[in-house]
Amino acid sequence: MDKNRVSIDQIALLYLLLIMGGKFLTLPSLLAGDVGHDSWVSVAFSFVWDAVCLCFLLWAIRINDKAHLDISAILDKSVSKPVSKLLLAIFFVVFVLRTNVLLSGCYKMFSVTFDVSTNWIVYVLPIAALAVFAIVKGFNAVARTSQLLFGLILIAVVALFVSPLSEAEFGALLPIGEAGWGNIIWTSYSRSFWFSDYIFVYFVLDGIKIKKHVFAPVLTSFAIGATLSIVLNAVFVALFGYLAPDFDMAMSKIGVFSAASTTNGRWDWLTLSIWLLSVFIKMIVFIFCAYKCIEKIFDKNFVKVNWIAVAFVLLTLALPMFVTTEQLLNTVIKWGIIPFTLVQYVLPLLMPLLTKTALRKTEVKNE
Amino acid sequence: MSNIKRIAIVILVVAAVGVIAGSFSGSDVLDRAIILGMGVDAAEDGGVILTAEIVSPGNGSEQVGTFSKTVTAKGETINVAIQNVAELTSKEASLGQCVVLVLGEQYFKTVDFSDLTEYFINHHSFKESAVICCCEGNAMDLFNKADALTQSMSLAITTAILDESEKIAVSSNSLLEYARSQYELDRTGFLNYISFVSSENTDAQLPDKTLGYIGYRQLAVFRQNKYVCTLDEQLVKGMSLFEPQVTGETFVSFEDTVTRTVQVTNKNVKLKPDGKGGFEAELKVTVRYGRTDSEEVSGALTAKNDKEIPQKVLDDVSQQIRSVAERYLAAQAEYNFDLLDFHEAYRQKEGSSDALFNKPMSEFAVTLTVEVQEA
Amino acid sequence: MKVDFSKLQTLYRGQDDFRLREIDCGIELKAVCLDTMIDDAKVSAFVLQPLAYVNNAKNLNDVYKKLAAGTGVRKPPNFFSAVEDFVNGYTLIFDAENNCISVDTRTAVGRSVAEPPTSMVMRGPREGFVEDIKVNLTLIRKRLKTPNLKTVNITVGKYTNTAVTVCYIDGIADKRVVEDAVQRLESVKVDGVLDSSYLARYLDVSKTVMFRRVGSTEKPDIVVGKMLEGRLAIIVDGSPMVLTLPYLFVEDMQSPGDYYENSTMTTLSRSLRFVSVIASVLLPALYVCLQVYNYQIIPLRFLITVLNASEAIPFSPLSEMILVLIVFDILREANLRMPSAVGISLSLVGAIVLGDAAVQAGLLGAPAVMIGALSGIGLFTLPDNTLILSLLRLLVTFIGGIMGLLGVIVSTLAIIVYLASMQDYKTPFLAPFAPDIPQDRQDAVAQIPVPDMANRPKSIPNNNGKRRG
Repeated sequence: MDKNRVSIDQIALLYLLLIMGGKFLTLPSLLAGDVGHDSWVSVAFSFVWDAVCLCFLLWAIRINDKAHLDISAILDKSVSKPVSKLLLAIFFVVFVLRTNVLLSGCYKMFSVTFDVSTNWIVYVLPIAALAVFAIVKGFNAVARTSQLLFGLILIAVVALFVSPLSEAEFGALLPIGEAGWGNIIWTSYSRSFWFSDYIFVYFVLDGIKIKKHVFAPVLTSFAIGATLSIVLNAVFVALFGYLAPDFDMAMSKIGVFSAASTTNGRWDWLTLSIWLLSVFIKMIVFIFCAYKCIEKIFDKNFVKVNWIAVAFVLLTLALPMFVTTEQLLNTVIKWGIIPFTLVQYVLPLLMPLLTKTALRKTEVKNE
Repeated sequence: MSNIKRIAIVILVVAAVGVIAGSFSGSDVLDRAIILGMGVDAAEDGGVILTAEIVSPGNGSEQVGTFSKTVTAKGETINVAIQNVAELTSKEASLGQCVVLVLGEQYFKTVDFSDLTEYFINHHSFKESAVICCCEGNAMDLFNKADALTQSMSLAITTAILDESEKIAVSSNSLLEYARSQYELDRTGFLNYISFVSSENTDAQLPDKTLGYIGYRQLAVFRQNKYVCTLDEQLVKGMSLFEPQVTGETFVSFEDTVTRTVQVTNKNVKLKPDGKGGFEAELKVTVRYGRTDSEEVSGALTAKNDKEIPQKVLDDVSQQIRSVAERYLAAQAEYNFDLLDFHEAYRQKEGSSDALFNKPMSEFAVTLTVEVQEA
Repeated sequence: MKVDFSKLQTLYRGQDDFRLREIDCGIELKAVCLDTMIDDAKVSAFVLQPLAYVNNAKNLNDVYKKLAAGTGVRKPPNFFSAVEDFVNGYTLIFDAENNCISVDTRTAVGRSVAEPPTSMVMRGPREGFVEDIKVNLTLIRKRLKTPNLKTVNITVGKYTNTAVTVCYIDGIADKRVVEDAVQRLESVKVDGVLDSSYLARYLDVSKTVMFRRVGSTEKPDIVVGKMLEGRLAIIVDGSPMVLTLPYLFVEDMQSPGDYYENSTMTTLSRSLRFVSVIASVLLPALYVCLQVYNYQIIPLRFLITVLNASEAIPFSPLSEMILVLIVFDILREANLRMPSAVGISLSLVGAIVLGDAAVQAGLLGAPAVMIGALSGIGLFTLPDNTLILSLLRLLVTFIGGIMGLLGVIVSTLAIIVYLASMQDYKTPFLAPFAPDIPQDRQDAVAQIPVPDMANRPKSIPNNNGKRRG
């Protein structure tokens, strides 16, 4: 068995978990700070871009069905090797940065909400160990884990946003577009770093098993994930109103009204812990992809786990020890948004074309 | 694998476990002063006096008698006061289970307590769903008394406000709702105004405590965390008439020699901008004869009473409702506070503007229609 | 084929139970057997009586024809085969030219078929396997009256020479899986096989140190049920436990009686098992980490109870819970080894008196004892994996106590990734949930009525997906 093979159903569920995984940590408060009660509209716009790119990417998967070319093969053959390496390097940076932002969001969540105070290294160590374990066991194990947990996580997320519904003042979301449509669209672009979770698919392209449908399962997952994210953002702003930008741990606060009585304890935090599983899965997936990036950049095919590459990826997780998340967001990500857009939004649109070109060249070579 | 390798791995694992175990610091519940409720009073020198009701474990697994003690500490700010509570109890003051925050009369009437609400809103552990209210007299005195039935004062206040008053008399505010009201648009909001009603102490276990009950039928109005006025029982009744979730108000009708008590079971409230800068208020109230055993039982599915209420009584109740509601609307205009979200309704329609923000309540003309029918 | 009689005699020189009898029936014959392995009556009836009246035999072939009374008479092809027969209780007859015949005179000493104590059922067949491989195979054949029931016989163990039979249904079981298993069994190099569980370790492809990867049961109806789903059964002589392959985690949650009860009740009881196992593994960890880190989650009134109960306890919440769990494991271990006569009373004394005394003495808190006991009992709903889950529970509790919810989440996820990565004999261990196989979910936790189960599970490789097909 190839331990990195995944079915399209597994991709769909994994994608759903990835959509839900990172968006409810600090993003809702950042968006509320940018565009106030219109943050959910901004999220909706981001998902519209995502949907278009996703469709193109799925099309590329469909084209790649028989040949099972991997991302570096496609890029090498279609846009030349140097460009391919450059794109893979950008991917690597995106994955590392996204993992770090997730890690620091989680770190904050644990130290502030869950009262678990420790230093960065000791906090990262178990998560890194988990990611390495997952790399050793293969991507298929992670995909199966997502299949096992997605129902539970979905219920947890729904429970978290259903519970404060009675307290939320949805009237506060009106009038729609008060922050200005230009501002809203710009925000959805400037915060695009948190979106386009489908980028992990690039690194499992060669292992995707397609049965019948490609579009239906993934787009269904996407629709569910996008709807939940939009609704959750809307509930968050409706619940906290003008105070929303101050609540940087959206998920830990949103369920505060869930208990029927104030003496019932914060049961919502247990639900929150279940949701956190999806954040961890997301981190594992991104670390796996970063590891794969190294494999592709150096044109290697790691049959067994390459510990030097693993060590290098894990070293990058020490980044928040030197740069704060705010600095990261205000400098690297702010200026890096253009190259990131290239791999997040431009590359998927070109993928069908690139895949076809690569396939044609492969066929010619074979003949 | 050679033995040396094995030993090295074991040592490495043990060392890693040791380092990880040593790097995480938790606090055992027994090392925490778990605060159930807090009272805040103004100190003479400008600081705050904090009275905290703290869970105090009894002896053994059986829970006998009281399970809480009160500790009072002074501080320049609320944060310092909480730290002083921790110092006095030699335990880590933990607010995660705090259910109520009570502001003493002198404190809420004289002090701008923006920093206090901000502190609690930003506190990682304090629940935004906790009840915040103000009390007659000192909060410290209130916490040193005991509720005749439930004994813990914090739980008694929460029960009174959340379980009783919200269903039958007045609305209540959580910390989040209150804080939002002080930040958004017209920045007015209210807090429940509670009082302690003493009763005879017949409890042998608490011979030294003053026993009594919590009175909760008044509200205090605030703008930007500053006191505006107090709404008496009648004004509160008028306000609750506009709150669909609050039912259970009673009205007494005197007809010849017969006195009848009717109770509101269901309400249909429509309060919408009339397009001319004012409001159309429509109150459709369903009533039935009052019952004491299940006064909370109300709502659309309430069973029909077997006795019919005479039309004359319904007309009388309608008149009373109109007069109470109008009195409240007049008070709203007089003191210029907006608890029925008039400004918000216009914001939702037209968006935010300074003109709307600065519009006084007296400029919102209200056309009121009242309809009373039997359940 | 010649079998060297003197070599055999040398091998068993000095053994008291080595019996030699010389018979003259026209030619000189030597009959040998192991006294401890034979049934005297059978030797008399199948060997001695038929030969007593023969005096005109010219060679061993004539003798072979005269031994018509015995059903198990054969000519061993070589010396080793003859020795194998000999040690199994066959009587060997030699002529002067070292030709040999072996006659089945094995003793039938052993348990009779009875209800197995490990899997009692309210409804359903009560027969259980015994130690005799022949009886066990009979019990299976009795239920599978089809020529498609195929067996492959192997002998394993240098000294024990244990007979092992791999059974499968031709046309249902995947031949590649059968070949794989047979190959693995044939390559086993071991001194002796005392029980089928010895072989289970060799059949575990990924050499899992934690979870069981091979099913075992004492009930023939269960084995047949599993064979009908495409699995193979491995019967080992001397063991009442028959192994089944491939094995899914979810099988441990299925009890023998499930198929004889109403499917709704089965679904309900399986769900209970499922919940109790998850709760058993996570509850102690949550109890500890909520006390140490997240007291806010505990409902206020329960928190007050916990505070009241644990104020006088000299241990930290973590050490208290670890102590409770270890005490529970000790009690369970002692209970297993105690004679059944004192077992019941002592386990009651252990559980009630020890627990209560510990609480009264202020050594342990009542909530901790209650949670420990609840978690301990809950694990027994998964009989095959109780011990390993009990170990994992200790581990998760330890990590949770140190690292709080972070530790619980990371360790839970690690366990799930580990379980999800396991795949032996083309069968994912967590199927039908990870990977999701909708068709197989009809008999996983929820169960649809048996008449509606039209297809064989897809997660088990098979050659015929349709039942009744």
